[in-house]
Amino acid sequence: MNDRPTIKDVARLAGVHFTTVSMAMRGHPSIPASTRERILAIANRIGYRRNEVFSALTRRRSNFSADYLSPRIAYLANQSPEEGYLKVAHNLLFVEGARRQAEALGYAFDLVFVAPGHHDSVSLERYLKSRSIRGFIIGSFIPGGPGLDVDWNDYAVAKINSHHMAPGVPFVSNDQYGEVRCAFSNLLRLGYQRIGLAVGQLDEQVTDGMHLSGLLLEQAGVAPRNRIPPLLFPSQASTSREVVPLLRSWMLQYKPDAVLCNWATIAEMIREAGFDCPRQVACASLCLSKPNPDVAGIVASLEPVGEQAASLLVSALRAEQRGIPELATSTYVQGAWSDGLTAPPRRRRTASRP
Amino acid sequence: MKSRPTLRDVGRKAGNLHPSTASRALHNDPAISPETRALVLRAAAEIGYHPDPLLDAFNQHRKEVRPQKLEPVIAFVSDFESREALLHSPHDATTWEAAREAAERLHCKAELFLVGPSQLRSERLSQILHTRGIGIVIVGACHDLQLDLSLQWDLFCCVRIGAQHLSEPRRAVATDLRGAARLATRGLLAAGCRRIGLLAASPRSNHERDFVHAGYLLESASAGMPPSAWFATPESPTIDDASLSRWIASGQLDGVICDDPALIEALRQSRIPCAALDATSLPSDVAGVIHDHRHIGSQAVEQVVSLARANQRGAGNAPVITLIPVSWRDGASLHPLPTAPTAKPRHRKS
Repeated sequence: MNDRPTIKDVARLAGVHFTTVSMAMRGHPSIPASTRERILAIANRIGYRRNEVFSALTRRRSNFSADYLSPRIAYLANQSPEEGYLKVAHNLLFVEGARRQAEALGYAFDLVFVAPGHHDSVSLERYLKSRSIRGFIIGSFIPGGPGLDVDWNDYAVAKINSHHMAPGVPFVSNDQYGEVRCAFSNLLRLGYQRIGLAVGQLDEQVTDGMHLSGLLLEQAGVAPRNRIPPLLFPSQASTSREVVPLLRSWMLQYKPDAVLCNWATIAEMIREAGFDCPRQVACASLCLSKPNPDVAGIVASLEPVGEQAASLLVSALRAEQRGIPELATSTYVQGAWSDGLTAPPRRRRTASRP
Repeated sequence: MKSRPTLRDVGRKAGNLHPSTASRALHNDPAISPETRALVLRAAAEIGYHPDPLLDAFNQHRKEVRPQKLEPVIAFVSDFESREALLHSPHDATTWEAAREAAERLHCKAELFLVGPSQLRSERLSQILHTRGIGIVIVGACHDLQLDLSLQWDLFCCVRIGAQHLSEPRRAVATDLRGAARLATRGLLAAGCRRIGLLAASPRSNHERDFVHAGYLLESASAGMPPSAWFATPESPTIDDASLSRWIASGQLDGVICDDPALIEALRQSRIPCAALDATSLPSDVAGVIHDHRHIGSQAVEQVVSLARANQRGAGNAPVITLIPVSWRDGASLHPLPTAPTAKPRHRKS
């Protein structure tokens, strides 16, 4: 039998009719604030919670607004469309994957911006409450952008990327460790020997060292003379003009024959640094959003990352798991290698002609 | 008002079948022929049929207030030679127990199926799952690296636990071995060790070994410590005391991460600070990493039930792994007492 506290238990303890409790829980204006707070305190104490899916079911029966037909989740971004959020291919793929999966699981989906000119944490909570949203995805928040200050215990939360940003909730990302390993071993297969990795320091921080751990592992399998220390672009460097000089001196010092980078424009950067790519130095991008015959690299599985985040969130909602867990799971989705002109097969010097 | 496709629509699309035929086909009912099932699955995919979460919630509620006659079965597939053997393997027993409890919470029933050369073969298992109409599979507690488990994955909602030597199903839940190696390295660093070695002697798949190695290499690099890792393979001779002390001397090691209880004992005998990669079922004076085998079992069940509710079958496309977090436990093995008064003072930190 089900021994969860019901609305009638709350009503009995508060000495009111259960419809009063219902109205208080929904924040109905005809209930005085003092009564509402008293009722909410009692509900909290005995652990009564509205079942959002159930209320949606009731609402459907009473059929008063098409807007409330489905339970709903939100996808939060901390960058606005005006700041270019929707121009970044990665963001769109994450959102699309999450939207598709949420809808497949029967949940409506809202993309919400927590950014200047849009929501702040206060108006966000008001918005979520007004639409009965009890679960949201923190969608690849950019470091340094607006954070979230909400009452976490009210929500089920999943997070895409930014492993190290608070709070520690179930987290989904593409598998940078696997991607570096996959790219490294494919470059070895193509005949390259001195393979270098160039990534942003900030990327290493937010992924908790995932690129580096993949690199170190692959380097443990090659001759020590071919192990090149990684180039970490400093956190403040954000344009290619700032990083090209660093790239150039690193390439002059360590003479890589192939460079792995998580910037999409790595081939141009190598050319700007004064090298002929791919004739002198090959390169592979770690962040292709689709296979591209011109650029070799890893096509990251970004839509599946969004899908996984939505699935995790919906199972937490179903299990009524809210708030921040003590230790959260991390889920990684692997990408796939795609050949391209920037890393042609390289003839080994020892290879003899037929 | 946009209406969702219903089972009735699926039946109509599949060629004027009754909605309950459509439902039974989607639930892998053995009374439905494979041809009809294929028709229904295709029709459901074409019109985008998904179970309604609101009705799902309602059914859930009904199940809570009155006992179920027939619960959906989750097949928990393992390659232990017997149920007793599984129950005697502490970690696997915990995972299985947690999976069973999680299934019960979600109104399903987990059942154990043993596969292997002397147990069920893949074909026989498929047959049984088919006749019993079981559509949910967890590949759990499979340790034989040679195991060949080939089911027709398209018929099943499936998740794998650990067993990274198996390529399918591609969705997996596993303990965070990379995190474990990182915690162990940091734990020994915090205890004052400056040259930490990694000694792995338990048989593992290459994937798992790589996770451990990667975590160790990352922490070693950020501490500026030259790595010294020793992976015993099935072909290599057993590690004895002499080879162990040779390895420790050659790397000038003052701390060791180890995954083998017998070797940890040997290290403690020779007063080397050490930490266990998995201290979950070791005595509490052994420092090391605690793995949450309960969480693994319940997470796998939650994921597979979620797939079942959305009717998402198949091995999956991109490989996905959910890592279950681990935690660190301090212990006396980090600070071995000096041996006899004649022993060398511990000044090997430089």
